[in-house]
Amino acid sequence: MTDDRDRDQVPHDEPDPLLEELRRIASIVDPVPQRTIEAGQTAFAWRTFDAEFAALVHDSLAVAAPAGVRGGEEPPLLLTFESDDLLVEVKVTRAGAERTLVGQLSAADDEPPSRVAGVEVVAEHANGPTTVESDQRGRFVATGIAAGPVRLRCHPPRPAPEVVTDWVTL
Amino acid sequence: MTADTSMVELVRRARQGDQLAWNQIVARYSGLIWAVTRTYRLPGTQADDVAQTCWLRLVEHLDRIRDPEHIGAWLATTARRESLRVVRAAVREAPPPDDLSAPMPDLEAESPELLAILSDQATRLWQAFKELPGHCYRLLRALLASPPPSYAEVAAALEMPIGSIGPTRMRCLGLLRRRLEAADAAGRPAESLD
Repeated sequence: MTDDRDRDQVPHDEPDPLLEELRRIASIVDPVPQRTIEAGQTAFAWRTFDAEFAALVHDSLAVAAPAGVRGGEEPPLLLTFESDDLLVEVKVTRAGAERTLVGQLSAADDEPPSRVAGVEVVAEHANGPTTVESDQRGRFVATGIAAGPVRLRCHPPRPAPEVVTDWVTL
Repeated sequence: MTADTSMVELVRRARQGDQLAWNQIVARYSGLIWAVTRTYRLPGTQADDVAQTCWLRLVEHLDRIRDPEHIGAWLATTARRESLRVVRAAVREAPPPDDLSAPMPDLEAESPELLAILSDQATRLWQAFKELPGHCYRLLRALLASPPPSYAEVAAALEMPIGSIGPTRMRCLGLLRRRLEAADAAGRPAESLD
């Protein structure tokens, strides 16, 4: 009998023969591919240190579109990442198997606007890295971004730290 | 040493740069992440992308995780959100069919070689499982993760209250049984009989 602390950590119900048969079948016809496991292992090498983290705080596709809306009539995918000092907004559009990122850097309220000008932005992706620079108003464009996991590393002028966004699947 | 304590220890070691500890974490939860992507019927390449994003995110969050025992639920939530974005972005790019009630194409068709290994009975069971109503398919597919997920992990994967998992599981397995029994009695493949 598990105590309350463990209660939600284990399945509650008795094993069901039908479910266990399905589990057996799933392990045969739909196992986790070895390549997927290996990709998970190599993710360890991508850990960053000493960088400020910009979390994904808004995802325009996190809320389902109303039923009946046809493709092509909705705004594009908009993602917003926020760190202590920097706001990174990105519009993502598709060009076949690639993505185009149109971004806008914004500083926190008490930071000078020059903080977002001429910032090196590195997009890390399967065909990357792709390095671009923001303009005087903090805007940037990155093309040829491969579909799949993507993140942005921003290098504002020193002594500001590097800002690294969450990985997202595009 | 319980399973939870060992995950706490693995996370501690991974934080300190231990690749082997990390590999054990990946081995432990890859099945759960894969099952979540399959509940949303992502095809293989997109399932791979979502899985990789989950691991890339976890490696950055190692220092911030407060409850290493709940990494499974964290990964399941991340896999759910990433899968939903991928599904919705794809749907938006391809205008939906005029008949919105038509079933979605089976994007996760297994390889014929693997299916050929199954007995006829197992094939019928698997096919009937895939033809269940969406909410039943998703719950059972999440429950099929190896190793078996906790209910907290399933709740995170499907954004369901933990307390509803047991009753829904029972109803869905009951539905699957009834369909199989009726199909066997009629001598034809199971289909929607309810």
